[in-house]
Amino acid sequence: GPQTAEKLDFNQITYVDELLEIDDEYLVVQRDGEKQMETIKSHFPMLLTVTSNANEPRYPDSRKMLQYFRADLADNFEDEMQEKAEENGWIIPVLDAAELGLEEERCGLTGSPTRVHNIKNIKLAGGDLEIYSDKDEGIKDLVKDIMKDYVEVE
Amino acid sequence: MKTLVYIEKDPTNNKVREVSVELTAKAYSMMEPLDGEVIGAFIGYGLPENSDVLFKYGMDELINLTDERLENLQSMVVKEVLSEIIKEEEPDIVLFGATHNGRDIAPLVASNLKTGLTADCTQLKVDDYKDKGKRLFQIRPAFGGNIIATIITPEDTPMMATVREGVMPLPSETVDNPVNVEKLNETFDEELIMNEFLSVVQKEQKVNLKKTDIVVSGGAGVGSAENFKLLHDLAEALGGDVGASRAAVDFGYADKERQVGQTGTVVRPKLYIACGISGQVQHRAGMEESQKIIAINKGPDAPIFDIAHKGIVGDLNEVIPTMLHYLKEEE
Repeated sequence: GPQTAEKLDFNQITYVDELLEIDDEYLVVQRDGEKQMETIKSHFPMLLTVTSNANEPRYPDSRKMLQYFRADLADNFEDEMQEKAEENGWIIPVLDAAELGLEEERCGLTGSPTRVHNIKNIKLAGGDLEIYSDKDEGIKDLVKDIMKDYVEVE
Repeated sequence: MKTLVYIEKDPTNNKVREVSVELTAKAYSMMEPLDGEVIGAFIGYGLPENSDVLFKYGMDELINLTDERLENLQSMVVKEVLSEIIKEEEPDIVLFGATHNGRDIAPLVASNLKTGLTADCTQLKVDDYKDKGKRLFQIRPAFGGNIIATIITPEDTPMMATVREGVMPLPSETVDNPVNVEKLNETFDEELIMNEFLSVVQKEQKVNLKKTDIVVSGGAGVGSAENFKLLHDLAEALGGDVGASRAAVDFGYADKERQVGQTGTVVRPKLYIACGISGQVQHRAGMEESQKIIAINKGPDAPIFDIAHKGIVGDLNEVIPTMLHYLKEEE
């Protein structure tokens, strides 16, 4: 989110919980400032990032799902299908770096300033597990051990 | 080498946010062996009242811009001012707390300076990298936490990272550097103040799992919100507090503020009692540094037993009431 805002040269509001008011020129949102809730008014253009509280997505419209069931990239349609695909709005448009005015050397994996140096699978520490029985005696021993170590006796 | 730490203030008590102190100490531990420097940057309104704590943990200089209009986050101003400070000071490394505001600012600045940023690092170290000299090794869980990736920014500077609060423990020893607070004379373009704060209400923090010595946590295996009350009873009997796995929160057994794990709070209490928690890696990331872990789970193969010190294989709805019974008896 923020990196996109920076590239667009837009103001941003992150962690938006709720849209409270919207007008032609501005909007008012509630931002989760972690330690405080903030009501912010800001003018367009701006980029918002939202929290999971911001919206309950509706289910997809089943008629539209059927209508666009065949949607695909232009290259994946046979020549004789192109016209029909276009009429039905099945062609998913593709933009390339040149159309978006991007520097190619800053795109994709090789364009990223960061590199993955190595990856490791997580090994579990493997503790000195002591199993207590789930019968009364075992539970009693566990409670005794907890009391001994952690609960201050007055 | 030089590391800059973005310093934040906790608006609820006007003190330095804990993560800012933790990162200062971490930066010092990386810079000290290299004869490097640790500086801080604070951009807001009014220095945190206990700013001197930063120098105790190894900060050399705290650069600050304080202005009434920056009492609440003005991302565009902070981006500009911080980018200017970075261009002026030329740090090799810039660290941010992975707080809401840190996560707001860090990517803006990284993008503005066209450099790399690694979010939510769990370990950081400086080491030689190929022929590039000393670089920052940024270690973090990836792909849902099942692997640990080491990420490098090989060419660009500064190398930037965010770290969540509680991930880097404070050292027991302090260094007591002299207090050195440097006020920034520059000002900023008024037009960058783009957010108007109509109201700000401090959140009531009801739960602070970080400050509790004993955490009793429940997962999906608890089975219902009703059963979850047992955990509250156990926590109360032990003088602790209640945590929850993400699954338990998603099922509505517990409030989100109780969530422990990669997307919740990171805790390291003296005792962590995991009840009905299978022990997915995302949960373990938030509690495996606990001094002692007790697991109560029906499934003997649950991964939680791999990191637990003590365990009972059984139904927590029978085990916990029995525990409560014996706790009463012990008293």
